[in-house]
Amino acid sequence: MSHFTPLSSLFGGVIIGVASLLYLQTNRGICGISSIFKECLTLNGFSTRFFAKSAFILGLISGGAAIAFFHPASMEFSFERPLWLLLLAGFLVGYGTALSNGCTSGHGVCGVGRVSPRSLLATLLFLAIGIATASLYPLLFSK
Amino acid sequence: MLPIISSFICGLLFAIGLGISQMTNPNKILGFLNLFGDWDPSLLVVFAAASTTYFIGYRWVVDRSITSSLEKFLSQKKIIDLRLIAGAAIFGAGWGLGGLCPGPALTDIATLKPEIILFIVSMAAGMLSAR
Repeated sequence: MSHFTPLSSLFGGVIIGVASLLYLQTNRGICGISSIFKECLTLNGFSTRFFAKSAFILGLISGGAAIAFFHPASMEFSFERPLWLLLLAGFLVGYGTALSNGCTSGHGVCGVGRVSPRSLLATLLFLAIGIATASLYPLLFSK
Repeated sequence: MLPIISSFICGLLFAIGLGISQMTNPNKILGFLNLFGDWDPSLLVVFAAASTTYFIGYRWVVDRSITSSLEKFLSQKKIIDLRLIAGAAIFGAGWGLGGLCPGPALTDIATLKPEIILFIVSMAAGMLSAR
């Protein structure tokens, strides 16, 4: 457990929760990033809704830029997976989140926070499968 | 106009939360998901802190008119079905393979890493394929 960072995890987690609540209060919706991004891809026309969803994504990227400047260690990493696997992973993430209408933010944070049975199940499932996949991969393939 | 400005601020704040907790680093995520490595429970703490904060705010801070109409709206959206189960499993597999999910991946666009851009293009393709 040499990499365990309990305090920054706690602090960051609370901020994520607050951001999601602020979104709910001002946008009256679940702060599910997969759904927000998907709407950016699929909404017709330049409605307020489209601009609001796009603004959220731009906010994420801007936040990323701020972190790269003020807390660069979080953004300095190299991939330990071949590119083709990352592409496959991306496709599965996209397909799966669209099918289940949510991801770690929509189901894992908001849905669990709402104590929604659907989200609780979805979260347990993607955690279990995520753990199984990540644990088996290095055993089956040399890193 | 308010939804657009507040959405931007929420995205900004959310990304800062991800960055502070290092959830933007896929290796940090895989450090939790891979039980056989140098196991790192940080992600669990992030989830617990975020969902607990949301739970408290959802019940006691956000306007009741907003939460009750949201609950009404969401209760129409069904029961637990195959789409939910299969979707969650497929998402989990993708997450376990790459250590990336939508939020951190989009935030990581700021790193300008080509792998991130390609991941997102692939993710978009997957989302559009599921319709």
